[in-house]
Amino acid sequence: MTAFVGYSSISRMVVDFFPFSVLNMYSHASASRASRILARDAHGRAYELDRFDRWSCPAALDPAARTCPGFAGVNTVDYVDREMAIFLDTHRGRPGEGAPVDVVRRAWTLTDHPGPPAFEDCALLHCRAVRRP
Amino acid sequence: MSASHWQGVDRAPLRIGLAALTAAFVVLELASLLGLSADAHYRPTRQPWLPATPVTLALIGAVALAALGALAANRRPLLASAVALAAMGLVSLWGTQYFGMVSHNFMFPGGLLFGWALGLVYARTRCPRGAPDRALSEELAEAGAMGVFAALYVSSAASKLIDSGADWLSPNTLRVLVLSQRGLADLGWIDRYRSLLIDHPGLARLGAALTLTIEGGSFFLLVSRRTRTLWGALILLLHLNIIVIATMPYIEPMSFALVFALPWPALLRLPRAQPPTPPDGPTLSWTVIYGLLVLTLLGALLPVGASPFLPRPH
Repeated sequence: MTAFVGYSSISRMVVDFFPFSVLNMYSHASASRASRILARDAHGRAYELDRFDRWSCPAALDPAARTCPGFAGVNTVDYVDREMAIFLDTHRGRPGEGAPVDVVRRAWTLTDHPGPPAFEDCALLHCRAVRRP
Repeated sequence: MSASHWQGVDRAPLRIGLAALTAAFVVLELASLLGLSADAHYRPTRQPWLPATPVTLALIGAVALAALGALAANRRPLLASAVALAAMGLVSLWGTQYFGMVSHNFMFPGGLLFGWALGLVYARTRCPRGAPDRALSEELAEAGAMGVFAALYVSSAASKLIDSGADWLSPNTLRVLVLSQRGLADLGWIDRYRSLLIDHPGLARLGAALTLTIEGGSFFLLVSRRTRTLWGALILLLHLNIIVIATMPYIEPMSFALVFALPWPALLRLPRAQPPTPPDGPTLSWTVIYGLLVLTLLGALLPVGASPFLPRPH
């Protein structure tokens, strides 16, 4: 009980300082719009980026790009976005190889009504890539 | 009544388990840091006061592993724990500089080791006339480690309530978590389960309520053997669910819940000796305990965690 109270007290004062923590990484209530970066093929089907390989894109992915009006308030997870950018950079192919694939930020709008949430996509890059078997 | 499954049983397996698991997590953290320091995609968010080169990482790793080896072998366990904690603190600092945020997973081995060491210190205060025997020291060390383990979960629940209040129970909390991580797993039943959570706000709200209940009720780990087993199992289920819905493995707390909260002595039929008799000596007064409790409440109410010199999660 002493350790419980002592550790809790010190952690609450320092917030995050090894070995003390209040584990507040998911403590904030979420927004009503979630988003993530996905790949979208020519048929409009969405996939994880790693379902494709040998990417050729006109530029590096900038997850923080503010190219989409109306996407300003969506919830993003920085480290997940960064992993996507690194994945594209480390899985580059030859120009012109593969089929057209868009890299999009998909934003879902959540409501209290049952059923799949509505979503809209914002194209971040128009690339080509090879579908993994 | 003690909540320990190890009452009257030699706790050497528990001590070795703590040291071995902590060593494994130190190696994993160092390997991750080594990879990051060599990856051009990652740059320290601020200039490290000691560069995380392969040489410095290997040196700190060697010190941490040697200290944890000494703890496992019960050689000067208090000193070994202190040295390991200092080395792990440096690893944590490096991780913060490279990731831009603290590794919360790494707080579990650090916290449990800190709690174990706290128990060893407490055992010494109870034996002013000489070194306490190993059985008593490790009984209190286990209590310290479990106290910290429970505190981590209760703190997590308290943070949610302090930062968001009842809003955390919104159905969006879990749905945003699922959608923002890896919602398209192409894994059959896992995808169907995730869709169920996303498409049914009531279910997502129930999931958030259960999460808060399991975390906030973790003080039951300290109440009795039955509640320790029950809450250890609930914590494991909570983390398994998080892996399924968001592909986020919290291996560190799961490992410690598995080792510390489940009734291994009964399951393995380990031989029981007489429980150690606590010697006479000073004990922590209730005044101190109440004082710490008041500090906790004050800490929860005052924004004292905003110290600019401490690393903050982004």
